[in-house]
Amino acid sequence: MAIKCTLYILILTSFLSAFLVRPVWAHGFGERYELPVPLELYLIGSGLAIIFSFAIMGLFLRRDISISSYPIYNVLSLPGFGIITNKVCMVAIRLISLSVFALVIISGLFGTQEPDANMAPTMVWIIVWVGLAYVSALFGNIWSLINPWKIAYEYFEAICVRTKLDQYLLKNLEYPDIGIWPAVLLFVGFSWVELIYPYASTPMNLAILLLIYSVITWTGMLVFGKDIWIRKGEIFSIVFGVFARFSPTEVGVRDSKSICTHEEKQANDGSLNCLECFSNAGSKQRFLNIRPPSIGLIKDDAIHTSEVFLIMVILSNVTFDGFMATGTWYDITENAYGLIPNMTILTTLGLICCILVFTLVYFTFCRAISLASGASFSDISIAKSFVYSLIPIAIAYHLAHFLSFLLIQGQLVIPLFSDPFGYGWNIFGTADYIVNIAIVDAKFAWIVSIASIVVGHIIAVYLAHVIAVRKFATYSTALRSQLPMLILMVSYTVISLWILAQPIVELD
Amino acid sequence: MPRWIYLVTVIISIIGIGYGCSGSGLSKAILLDVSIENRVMNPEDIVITHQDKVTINITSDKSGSIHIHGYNIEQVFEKGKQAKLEFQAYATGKFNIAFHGSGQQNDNLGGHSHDGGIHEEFIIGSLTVNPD
Repeated sequence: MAIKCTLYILILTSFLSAFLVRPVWAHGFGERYELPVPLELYLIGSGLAIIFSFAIMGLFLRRDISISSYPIYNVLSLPGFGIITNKVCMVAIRLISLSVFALVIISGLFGTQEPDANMAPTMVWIIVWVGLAYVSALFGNIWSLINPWKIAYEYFEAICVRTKLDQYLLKNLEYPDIGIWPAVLLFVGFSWVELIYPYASTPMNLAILLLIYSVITWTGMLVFGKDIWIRKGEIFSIVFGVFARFSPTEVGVRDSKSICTHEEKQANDGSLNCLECFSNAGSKQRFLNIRPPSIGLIKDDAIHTSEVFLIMVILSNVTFDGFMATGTWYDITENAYGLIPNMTILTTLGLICCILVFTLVYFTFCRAISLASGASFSDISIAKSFVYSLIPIAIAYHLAHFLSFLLIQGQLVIPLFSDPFGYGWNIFGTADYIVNIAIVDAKFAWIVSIASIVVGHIIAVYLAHVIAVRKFATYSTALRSQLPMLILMVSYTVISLWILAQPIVELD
Repeated sequence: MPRWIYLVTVIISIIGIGYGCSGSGLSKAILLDVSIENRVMNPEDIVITHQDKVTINITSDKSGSIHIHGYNIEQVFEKGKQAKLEFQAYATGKFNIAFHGSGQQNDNLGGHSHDGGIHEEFIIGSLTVNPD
């Protein structure tokens, strides 16, 4: 009882004290050293975005765009690649993932509370949150393979079945028709912790937050079933899943009808990117395809309204992180500080405003698209159709914004694996590794940032174009509908570039 | 030939041109005087170029040390005496410069403590290393 009370008090005070201090770092953890993109590169990037917007219209103008057949190549058919899905290999990956998860929690709870010397902050904020977003977007949905909550629950399920407890414990309630609203709310909470909570880098708090999230996740899985909760409430599966739609790989199962059991089958192929089917299938039926990047963002199936809002929160999360480090935000808070003399409340309001502005602007443009296309579809139907086409810009911005941060601060894991608790250990002999701050040159980072944002923009415009041609009855309607979308995307891209061109201001 | 080849070609050439326009890469010797008064560094931002060999002469009204983040260089100095800090700017970027008091001062100017409050750290300025 006493322990429980102390824990409650600890959590409460750490949250309440969040409202008493000025945050030092904009992002969850770590210091940034990069230089702002120079003006001429910013102008070149913006100019290119606008030029390419029209070039795409000219180059790719086609009436018969089909995405049901795109070039694919099954990697598993190559000799030797079957080992990826080999049982031993899978079990090893699962055990490593679980151990790292346990190590993060234990080092958070019992290790030194110096953020740089403890494994938890670097692992959570840099390697998993920033790093896995990169991997998901550029390579594929690796999270569904290594998700520690899912793995732990699967072992729990197996134990229940063996001890015949499953008939009492594993009876699921029917999931109500609320889409992914649980995930939207949880992700707003996560964004607050990442961007605003001033103690997000304190190892102990991080471990407690992870434990709270674990309880939420496992309760969700227990009540509604593992796979339902992964699709509706487990934010990392959903957010990394959104990023992975952009990636050039897909997994799935041939002849899925015999295997696929879940009720919400996707329109064209019930088993595409469904890890549930993938793990149930035999090795002959599985495929791991290389595909054109971003093709997964063109969705044919109906999506729930809550998904639109999730995308809005993802866009806000990514943009607000950068915006908070600009002089403009600094000026805003300087002025507002007289009114509300509390930085945490101010930044919280800022995040809420950012989400509202994104949503409002997006729906306004959807209204415009609806009007431009002769009001043949409702605004919400338009919003659902086009929302995924904004993801490439968000991914490109995320890649640009975190490039040098990930490559420099990410090196901290090398010494930390030898000394996860900060006790002065040297398990692998790497504890004395000194972070190489010259690993990415400022000029290289600028060019990669600008290039990735321009490429992301091109892909977004192309996707929106494909979606429009497929959605609207006539080709001329589709073209007319694209003008508002183009304005929206160019503005979003230019704002993203503008943030990169701002000198980083750290509140201190 | 697929159309996207054009786009890829254009983008790659832009990156190439952008990266190709690099500077000479010669390193210069730079000598700078920096004073610290009342936890304010003058100049507040030291701007140098990649590969410069820098010598900074520090004078301060308080004893303590300065620490350049990222580079992880530390220089201890005594009140009133000039101290010398030498390094080569091998990495580009903007790095905070922190002042660590030698312990006696205990006023709350918003510094955050690192090692459980043994010595306090104040960001007093920055070092900007531009690419050449």
